[in-house]
Amino acid sequence: MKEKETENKKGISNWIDKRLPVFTFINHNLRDYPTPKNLNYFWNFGSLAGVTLVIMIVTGILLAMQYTANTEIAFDSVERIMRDVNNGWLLRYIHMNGASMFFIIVYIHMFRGLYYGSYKYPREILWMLGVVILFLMMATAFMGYVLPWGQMSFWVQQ
Amino acid sequence: MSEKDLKDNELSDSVDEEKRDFLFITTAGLAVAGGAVTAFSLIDTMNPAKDVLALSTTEVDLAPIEEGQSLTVMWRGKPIFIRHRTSEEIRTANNTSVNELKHMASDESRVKNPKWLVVVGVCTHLGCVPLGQKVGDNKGEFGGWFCPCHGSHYDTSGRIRKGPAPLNLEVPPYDFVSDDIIKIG
Repeated sequence: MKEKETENKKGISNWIDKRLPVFTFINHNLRDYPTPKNLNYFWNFGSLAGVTLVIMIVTGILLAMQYTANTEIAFDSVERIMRDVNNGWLLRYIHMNGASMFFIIVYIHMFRGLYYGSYKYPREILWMLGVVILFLMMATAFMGYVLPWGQMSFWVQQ
Repeated sequence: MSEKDLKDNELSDSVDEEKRDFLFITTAGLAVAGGAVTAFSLIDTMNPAKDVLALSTTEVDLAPIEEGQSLTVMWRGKPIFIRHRTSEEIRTANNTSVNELKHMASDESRVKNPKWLVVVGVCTHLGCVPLGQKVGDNKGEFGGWFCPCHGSHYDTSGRIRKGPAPLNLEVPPYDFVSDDIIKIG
C-alpha cells in the first residue's frame, strides 16, 4: 500500500526519481546534506574545492576558445587574450589565480583530513582516491603552466 | 547547560517566518544578480575582440568587377559577397512577390544601387559560406547562392528561398564613397 502511494505521486520528476533517484541524490548532497553538528569551518574546504573546480572548468573552456596550440603563436594568442578579447584578462587572471587557490584549498582540505583523522577506518579508500586526485591535479596544473609557452613555461619543462 | 541556555533552546523552536522570507529573498536576489553579471561578462568574451573590431572598415573599388561577376572581400574576419548584378538578375529580384518570402524584404530595401548587391557571405542557418561566388559554382535554384552544408538556396537579392536557413543574408552597413568605391563598416 505504501509502495502504491509513492507510485501514485504525479509528475515526470517523481517517475524518474523512483527508477533512478538522481533528484533524491542531489537533494541529499546539496540541500539537506546531513552532517554532525560539531563540524567546524575546516569542513568547508571540500565544497570550496568543488566550486573552484567548476570555475576552473568554465574559465578554461572559454580560454581554450581563444588559445592557439602552436609553439610559434601560442604566446601571441595569450597576449591577444590579455589585450584584445573582451574581459580576456579577467578570464585569464581568474584561471591563473584560481589554479593557485585550488591548491591552497586542497592543502587545507588535506590538513583537515590528517588532523582530524579523516583517513582512518572506514574511509581509507576515500583517502587513497584523494591522493590520486592530487597527482592528477598536479599534472593538469603543470600542463596549464606550460601552455602560454613563454620563458617560464619553456624552462619549467626542461 | 545553564538554565538560561535551556530557555534559549526552547525559544528557538519558534521560527520568525518574516525574517526567514526576507533572508531567503535577499539571498536569492543577490545570487541571481551575481549570476547574471558573471554570465554576461563570460559570454561577452565570445563577441568580436578589439583587434577584429579595429579592422572595422574596408574600402572596395568596384570598377574592375564586370557585370555578372562577383567579388569576395574580408570585413571583420567575415567574407562579404559583392555582386555586380545583370539587369536580368535585378528584374527577377524585383519581380518576386514579397509576401511569398520566408523572411519578407523587398529588393529595394536591400540595395543602395540596384546594380550592386552587398551581403555578408555567411549562411544564416549554421554559418557556412555559401557557394555562388566563383564561375561554375552551384548558385542554387534561384540564381543567387547555395549553401552546401544543409542546402539553403538564396536568390539574386541574397534572400532565403528554400532550405533550413531562417533569415536572408545580412546586409552590412556600407556607403558609396564615389560611384565606384564603397566603404563597408
